[in-house]
Amino acid sequence: MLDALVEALKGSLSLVLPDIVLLATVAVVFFGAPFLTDERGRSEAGLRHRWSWLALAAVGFSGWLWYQSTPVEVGDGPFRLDGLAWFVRGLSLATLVVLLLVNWNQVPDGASAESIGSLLAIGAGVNLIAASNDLVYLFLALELVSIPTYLFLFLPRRDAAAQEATTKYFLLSAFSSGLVLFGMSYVFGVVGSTNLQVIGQALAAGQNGPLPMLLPVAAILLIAGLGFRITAVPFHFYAPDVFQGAGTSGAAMLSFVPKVAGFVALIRLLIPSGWMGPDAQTLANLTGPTVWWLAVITMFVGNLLAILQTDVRRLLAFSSIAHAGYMLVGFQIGRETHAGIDGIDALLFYLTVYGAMSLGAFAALIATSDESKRYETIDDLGGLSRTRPAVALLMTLFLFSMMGLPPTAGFLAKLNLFFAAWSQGTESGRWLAIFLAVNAAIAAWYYLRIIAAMYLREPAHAENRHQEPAASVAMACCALVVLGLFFAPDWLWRAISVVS
Amino acid sequence: MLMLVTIFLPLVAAGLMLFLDIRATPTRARWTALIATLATFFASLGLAGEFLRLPSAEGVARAPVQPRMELRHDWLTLERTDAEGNSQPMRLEFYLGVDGISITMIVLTTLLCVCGVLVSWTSITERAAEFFAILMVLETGLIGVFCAFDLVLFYVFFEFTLIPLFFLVGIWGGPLRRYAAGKFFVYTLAGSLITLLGLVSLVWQATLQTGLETPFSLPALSEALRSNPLPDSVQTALFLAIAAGFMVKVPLVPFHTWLPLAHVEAPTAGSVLLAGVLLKLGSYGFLRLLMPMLPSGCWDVGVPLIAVMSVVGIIYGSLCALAQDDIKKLVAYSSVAHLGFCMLGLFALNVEGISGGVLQMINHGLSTGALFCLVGMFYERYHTRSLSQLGGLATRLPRLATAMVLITFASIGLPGLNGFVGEILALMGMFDAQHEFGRVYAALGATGVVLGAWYMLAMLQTAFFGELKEPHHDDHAEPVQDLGFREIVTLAPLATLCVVIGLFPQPLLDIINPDVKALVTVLNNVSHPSTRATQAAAEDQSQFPATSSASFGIPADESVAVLHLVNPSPAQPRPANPGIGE
Amino acid sequence: MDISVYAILLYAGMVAGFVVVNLALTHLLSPNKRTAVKQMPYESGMDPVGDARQPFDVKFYIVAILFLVFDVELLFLYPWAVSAYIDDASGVPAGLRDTVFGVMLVFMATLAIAYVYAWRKGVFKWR
Repeated sequence: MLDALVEALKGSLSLVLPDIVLLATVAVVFFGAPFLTDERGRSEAGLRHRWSWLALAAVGFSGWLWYQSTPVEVGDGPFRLDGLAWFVRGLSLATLVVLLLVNWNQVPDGASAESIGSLLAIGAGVNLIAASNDLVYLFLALELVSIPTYLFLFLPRRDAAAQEATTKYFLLSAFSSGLVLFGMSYVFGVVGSTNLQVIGQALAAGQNGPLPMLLPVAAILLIAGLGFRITAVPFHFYAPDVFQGAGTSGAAMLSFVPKVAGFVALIRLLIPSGWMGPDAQTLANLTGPTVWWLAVITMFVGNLLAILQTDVRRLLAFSSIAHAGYMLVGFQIGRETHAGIDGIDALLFYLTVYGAMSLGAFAALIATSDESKRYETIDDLGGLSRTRPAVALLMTLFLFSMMGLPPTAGFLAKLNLFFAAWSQGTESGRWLAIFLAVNAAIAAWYYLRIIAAMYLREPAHAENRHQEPAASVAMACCALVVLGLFFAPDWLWRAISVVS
Repeated sequence: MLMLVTIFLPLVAAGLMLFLDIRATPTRARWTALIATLATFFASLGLAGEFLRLPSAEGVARAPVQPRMELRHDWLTLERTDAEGNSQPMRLEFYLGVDGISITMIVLTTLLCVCGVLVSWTSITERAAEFFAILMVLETGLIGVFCAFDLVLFYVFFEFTLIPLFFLVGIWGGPLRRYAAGKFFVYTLAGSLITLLGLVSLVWQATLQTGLETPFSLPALSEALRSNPLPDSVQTALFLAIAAGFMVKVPLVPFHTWLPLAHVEAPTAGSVLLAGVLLKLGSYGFLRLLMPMLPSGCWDVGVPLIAVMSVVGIIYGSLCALAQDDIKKLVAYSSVAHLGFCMLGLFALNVEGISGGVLQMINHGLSTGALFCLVGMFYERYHTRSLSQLGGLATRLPRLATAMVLITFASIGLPGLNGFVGEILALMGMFDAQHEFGRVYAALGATGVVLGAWYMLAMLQTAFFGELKEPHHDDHAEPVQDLGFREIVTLAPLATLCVVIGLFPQPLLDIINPDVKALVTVLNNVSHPSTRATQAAAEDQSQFPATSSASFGIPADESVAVLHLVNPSPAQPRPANPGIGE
Repeated sequence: MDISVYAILLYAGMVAGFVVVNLALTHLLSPNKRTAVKQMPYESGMDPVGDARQPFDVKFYIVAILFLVFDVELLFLYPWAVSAYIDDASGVPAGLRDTVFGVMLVFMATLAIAYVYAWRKGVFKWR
């Protein structure tokens, strides 16, 4: 029995081995960093590139370990690997590679180690969220994503705007973590265990203890706390300011990684894995029309306010709010018992495609800027097709993908969401599909404005020969994914179907 | 294989131009584009040849929408959970194919693209490589629509054509180009999104009802819905949803407001392709998606709605054209009117009407494409299109005037030229149609012919005949030149085809006949009050026009002549009048 | 409704209500005559001197945070130290002792890395 316990312990370690690799690299980076910087915070030039290469190697090794694993369900202790964990791990490792490339030249050498270490920690945190099977570990993983984020947002540009952005994000993130914890405490109070599987089974069996009325409250609190992370309205107010103040690489990370974290946490908490039966009570079922309204309002607010923006990063912030709304549509469909296309599958497909196009768009912004001039407003991007035709072309590709226009993967992702929403068969599902279509039309207006600025106007700046090779590579990879997923989407769809 | 070459050769050429030679001189760019579009044209002719050499499919059982040559490849397999909890696949495919209607439109497209390149020879000097590349990307999109036999693939190509046209209008257009491009894009996109919703709903309903594994494939879907049609109320709702996008594209009044703006601001090649091919996507959508799948919907809501909108479009478009000073805007409004004819013919929902509609699609492409070429040549010389500044130019530009007169008469519908055949078939179809107001619509539509003649001839008289009145052309030291060799080469094929189709329309009608008959079979199977009278007649197709036309008191030999146009059967005596012959 | 469980919510509500009602009544019923002398900050009857806000050296804050971190580490070390090598049922089972030792070493190493980082960054310099 003891050996079994030891084996179980060692087994659970092996479940999270890729994440341990990442965290060990974080430890190495933080250990080595202060020895390579002097008193004033400066270090030799090119240090950030060396740290980035080390981080890439670590992610590569972690990826190899992940590749050896299969989406087999194993574990029922604090960590549990199933299809979702396997998929999210692959997604987050790919995202880490792109973010490392995007971040290549964005941080001064003296602060580069902390920045890269934070990024790796964030990636490990996302993996752990997906792999967690316990309320406490889920919260721990959420914090492992949040706290390095504050660092990562602040380090590239340490001016007043970045300070403001980081402080806003920090305060709101702390508050939302408090809400999540409060909700978790209510769930624990009702069920009596923190293990997610035990919670799921207890709820499904109707053993809700003496206080079942706390459960809807708990579910609402969880959605509120995680809603901050996925920039759902009305928890979205930080997004435009933080995207604008924190610098492009911070905005790039923020536009995608917290969404993955938030949605995966929502799925883990609210929708128990495994089929519980058509009438089983889950935390998701208790929230009623809340998520529906959240999705609709988020879509509309994101799109309508984006039309008013002139700063590209704020516009992309509002567009990311709108995309969170689209993904919430998928989540709303997936909550219910389904006879139709699975909403969670559509959600995960959209998440992956959204990651590629969003990170690509920010990489394009970085690839255009140079030392002295960052491209911030839409007018700055004017005439980009003449000065940097390749970048303008790829940016156009990403913007068309966000619009949901063929021949990009964004179109297929929206199509899946349409199908999932319509095939649910209920009136509310059909309204979601209609609102999705309406919002796609509204969104076209502001994306088109950027494309028009790039192509239809005269160049705003003199020809800018500054190259950012790493950002260009990241952009090219994202473009490949966006185009490739249009022509060959089946491999990704197979992988996602394995998840559920 | 040839199909893939036809579709993707322009795209490959565009890609090469964009990535290898983006700063090419205009000369190099235009010659590359000419070679590429000519190659695509010959490829499409080869495809047509291959199509015509296929063994006849008379008497072979076929789905209402059935390509004769096809190429399929798996794309994406969605999974749905059905009522018992099992997981059923729904497959999307890259399904490319060619049938009678498609092949005619494909050849039209490639021909118009060659003309588009030729007409932009001297007028595009800035960013020429990008211009021609985008033109060829547009060509790929257009050909792709006509070859797509998978619902999602159709929609993909349909939407895809928006992108190159946005850039064409927005970069190389007139003074209001940015507004025009934006309005065109968002307006058409909004309509298309409603269509997408409708398509999603159609596929879902069909899957629930028939359990198809490939509900996106047009042949499979049309076949399944023929034997197992959707309920009438559902069909009505779906018709309205899916038709939304196509109504904007046709364009039907009142969704036409983007068209005059886009046409006026577009560069000449853009206008040629916009009018010549892009507008046909709307009516093609009606043919491919709405008629086979939703026949009840077509009868119940389609006929009254679309027929009324078409008639309004014909009359309103003609009246607006009368009031125009800008020749390009006049031609744009005339497009609205002509496509009203096309839709009127299509929604007669019988063989003559639909044949007339499809023929009108081709004719309009040729004549309006040529008209825009001429307007462009005009504009290159005088830099104005305003009728009030022009007069008596036939003395100065005899060749251009001749071409203009010929094409204008083709557009009006003079017998002997192509417009006449299309219009007469469409109007006769509507006259013979099995619904109450058919004759009313046809009569009102016929007045549109008169109006069309009015504004066209008024335009001709003002601009070309009468007192010579030339606008200032201060950048020409020497007098304005008449049509040069290149311009004659641009117009010649279009003008020739106008004459040839006008005199010998039968081969074209033969090509599209099998598909039109299949559509009409589906439409007549609907147990609609209007069709019950002709259920018996519908069994025997060759009797179909004779029964109804005889009831209108048309002399026997003329009805036989009409019969001969759509349905050559050796048992019928040859018509006495060789003018309308085979 | 089980009163005993909701009692604390009821109590909290009553407390809050009491506070709110008192403040509201005070605000509504009290006379409101402001004079310059009445508005001055209260410093036990003396006149205030200088600015209430003074720069606060961040080194105090950093040292306090570090103290907190290592104090919590101690909090984890105490139970381990006590239970690690006791042989009865309340201690760590013998077969697991090495594993637990390893886990604690990793824990302390992580904190040691943080300590070294803070040290090299000059946090302990008393300027």
